Amino acid sequence: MPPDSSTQSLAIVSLISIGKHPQSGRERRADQDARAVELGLSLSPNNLTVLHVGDAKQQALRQYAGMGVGEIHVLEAPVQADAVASLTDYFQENAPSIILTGVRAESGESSGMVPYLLAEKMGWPMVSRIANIVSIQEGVAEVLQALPRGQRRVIKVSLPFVASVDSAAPEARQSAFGPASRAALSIQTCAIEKDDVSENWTETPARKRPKRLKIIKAKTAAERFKAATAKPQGESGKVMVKESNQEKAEEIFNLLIEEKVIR
Amino acid sequence: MDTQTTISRGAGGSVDITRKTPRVLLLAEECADQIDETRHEALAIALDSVGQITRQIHDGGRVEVDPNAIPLAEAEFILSAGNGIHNWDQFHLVAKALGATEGASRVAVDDGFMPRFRQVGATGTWVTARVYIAVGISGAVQHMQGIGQCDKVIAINTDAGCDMVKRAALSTIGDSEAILEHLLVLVHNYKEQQAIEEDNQDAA
Repeated sequence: MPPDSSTQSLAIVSLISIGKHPQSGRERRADQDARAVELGLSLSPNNLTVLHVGDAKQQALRQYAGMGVGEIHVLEAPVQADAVASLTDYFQENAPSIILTGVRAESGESSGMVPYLLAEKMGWPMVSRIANIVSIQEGVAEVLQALPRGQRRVIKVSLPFVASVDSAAPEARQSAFGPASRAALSIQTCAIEKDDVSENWTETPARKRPKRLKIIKAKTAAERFKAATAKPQGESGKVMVKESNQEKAEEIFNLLIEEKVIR
Repeated sequence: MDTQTTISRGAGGSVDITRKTPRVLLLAEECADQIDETRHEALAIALDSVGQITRQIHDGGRVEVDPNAIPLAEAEFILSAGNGIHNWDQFHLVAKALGATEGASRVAVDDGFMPRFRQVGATGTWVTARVYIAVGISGAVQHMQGIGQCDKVIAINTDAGCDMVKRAALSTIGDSEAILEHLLVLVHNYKEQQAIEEDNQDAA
């Protein structure tokens, strides 16, 4: 979307986190967070705040700065601390119009709860999985929400609001190394709330195949044997050869109507 | 998972977290098989109080999406073309009328009729469409792999013995151009009728 004058001065905050490359496991900019920054940059290039809670020395933060963000705000906190508490404190003092986040973090618990908890604490509406912000007029934003199977839904929401950005949003621009190294980090201290729920968790690398809750329904050995050896029944469909082309087309059309794919 | 501990998956699916079982859980898809054999009933419960909710989000409904803008792997309804297509203009017209995402077999892509990202199959995209219409595709093994997850396959082909016909829920044997022509007319009639009905509803 080309930035228009109505959104240029809008205060937008994009929350960023440290991502993890799925193959190498190396730290990187998280994909959805980068899209949140991209969306923020395209809406309000002059008044976008990029905010991170955590370790300010983390090099991956610079990758966000390389997208053309002059400054990155960091609320210094240990990795184990609860980010929502620090964020709420911060936003109570400087409240923006829109807060953008990713849907799920790529490290940690990645429960995707941060935007919801934040919205609840602030008393703001929360729009999940947005693909784009179409327009903002008179304090009401028109937002496109991404639905499964590439579908979109229009949502109207009044400012201020929290939104999580889906992977269907416009792709993040490339990160340039020079600007990334030059960017300033403004580090603030914040109230730290220890997250004591996660203290007793143990983490292990994910097993390839999670164990299913298997319920054995077969009661006798014969039934179990049958279930294990049964071949899937090859259902051959209806074949139309001799009918006229008109009838064939009608049959296809009826099936399409039945499956509700023609709207 | 049991009553004491739960294993959940975190960090984008790369870490298993063992933790105490909370009171509310969201289950991953791989957690268990679907329920069959038993029937369940949903009952309405009366709440003592319902919190006041002010509506802040207005749902504007679905928007029309250009079917060709949907990624092929996600598309719900695909009209796919193979070597048996000779009238490409007609094919595009039908896809547009049906509102289907366009796909193609390897041959059609190699011959330059369709772009590479439209290719369905092992070397192209693995599709998950609910309804897949294969026009003039006989069904090479690689192509059948690509449509493995499709629910309803409709084949239009001249060869009644080909693999696609064996896989399809509905097969029509004959000239694809003639069948698509009739289909096009049917869709146009249907849409016109719908438009008239909508007008009537608006008037009423």
